[in-house]
Amino acid sequence: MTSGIGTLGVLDSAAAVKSRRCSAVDLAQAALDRIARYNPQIKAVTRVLRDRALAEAAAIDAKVAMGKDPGPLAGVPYGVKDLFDVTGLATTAGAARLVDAPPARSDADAIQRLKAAGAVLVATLNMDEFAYGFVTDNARWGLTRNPNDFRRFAGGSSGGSAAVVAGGILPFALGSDTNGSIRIPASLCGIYGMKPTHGSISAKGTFPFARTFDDIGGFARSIGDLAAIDRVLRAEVENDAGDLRLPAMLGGWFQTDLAPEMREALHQLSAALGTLPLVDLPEAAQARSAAFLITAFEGGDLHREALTCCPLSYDSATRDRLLAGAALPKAVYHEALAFRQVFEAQVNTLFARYDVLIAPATFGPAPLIDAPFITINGVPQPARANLGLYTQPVSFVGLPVIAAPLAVAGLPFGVQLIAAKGRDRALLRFAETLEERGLTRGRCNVLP
Amino acid sequence: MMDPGQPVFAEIDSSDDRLVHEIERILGVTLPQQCTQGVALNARLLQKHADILRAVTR
Repeated sequence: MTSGIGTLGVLDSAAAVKSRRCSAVDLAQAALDRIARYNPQIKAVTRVLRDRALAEAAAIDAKVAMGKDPGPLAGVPYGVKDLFDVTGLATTAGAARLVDAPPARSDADAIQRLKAAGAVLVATLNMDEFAYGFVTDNARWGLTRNPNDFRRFAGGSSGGSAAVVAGGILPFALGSDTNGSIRIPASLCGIYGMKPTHGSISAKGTFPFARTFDDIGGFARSIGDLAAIDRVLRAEVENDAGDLRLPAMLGGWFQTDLAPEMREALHQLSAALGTLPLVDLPEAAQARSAAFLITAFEGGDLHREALTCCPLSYDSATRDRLLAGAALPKAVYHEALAFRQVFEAQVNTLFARYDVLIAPATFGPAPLIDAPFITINGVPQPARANLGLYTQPVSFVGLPVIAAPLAVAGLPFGVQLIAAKGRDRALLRFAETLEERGLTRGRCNVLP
Repeated sequence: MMDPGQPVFAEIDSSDDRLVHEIERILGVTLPQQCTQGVALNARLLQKHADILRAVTR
């Protein structure tokens, strides 16, 4: 079986390898072929790891041949955002200035775990430089295009990861999310993405951005696939037997500036779930601004030395944001950090009454590349800095979130399914019930 | 803790050049001319978010 294997999902790929319906090398080769064919159109891949992929796949096939357990992700090809350490490669974080950095001596923790589970690393994937953006417009590797419509952004900063999964090039990918960088591209590309409870999955061996918010997570086309990745990435599986039964819809801030199609889709989702109560987080705007300030300060601080030494080695869109952040007074940073306690208390008040909060992941479908703006309070604002309008208040307090693609016609967009900290596995089960009812649906746009 | 009415950057209401000179003083560098517009724009954006956080109308 080698025909049609290129677009299998995670669980189907692993099952095919374990049952010998196809080999891991066949899957890796099909993935490499798809990258060669489609990446020139969507610019989602930065480096192809052909030799490594074929060697890892051959090792899996050898295990299968010997009757050994090849792992739960046996032979499943995947890619990682270009900020994960990959042995022998420079970790660029999407920056031209790091292309010639010393190569990583070992794989990131997440890659090691996936390798032990049998997954096969095939490529590194495009991103906004140093993860500071929501559109994946990269000065070195180009602008990643949305597989649903090449005229539109894939979202960012993990845009390459979302595009390869939505484009049917790879069954899954890893990204990172600081302010929405998994959730936004997942929404705009029409697939699932997960930001776990902050700090619950090891990010060791990834290039940092803003330590208060940084997390890593997966992209996939089904919840079952996403859960399979989460199980492997998580060192300790939480003891969480209780299901999440009481959802509510976030109103106020989360219902302003929405595109008409998102507004209608949220209304339909609420109706399908029995007309959800509309609840408010009254200081969401302050939370978003606090997240913005903390990110600017921590990002600026991280890059301060390099910025002051060689500012022109940065992409100007990243450089000028980081320079301003590097000059932000520490007192403002501490004010923003202190607001987390205030906001977390408001969030916990809601979780005392409800199990899951539902909110838009983006204002609507992906903006056009030629019109890179979204409208906030009636004023066009740059998409690169502002697509995180609805995601930033949520990650501000480190909650687990799944971006789930709504089952809509036309261009895709998704919602955030939000749970209390530590309820990641229960949240995955809740998301599965929405998928089973046909309310959410991941897309696989087999590219022309 | 800063006074809620105190701007993040003293020169926030001045020209881009003056605002970026203040940032250069904070960072202890002289920035290339091509940074001026973007750095000033982003400094003003940070001021806007600080004002939202503090519920200040400027």
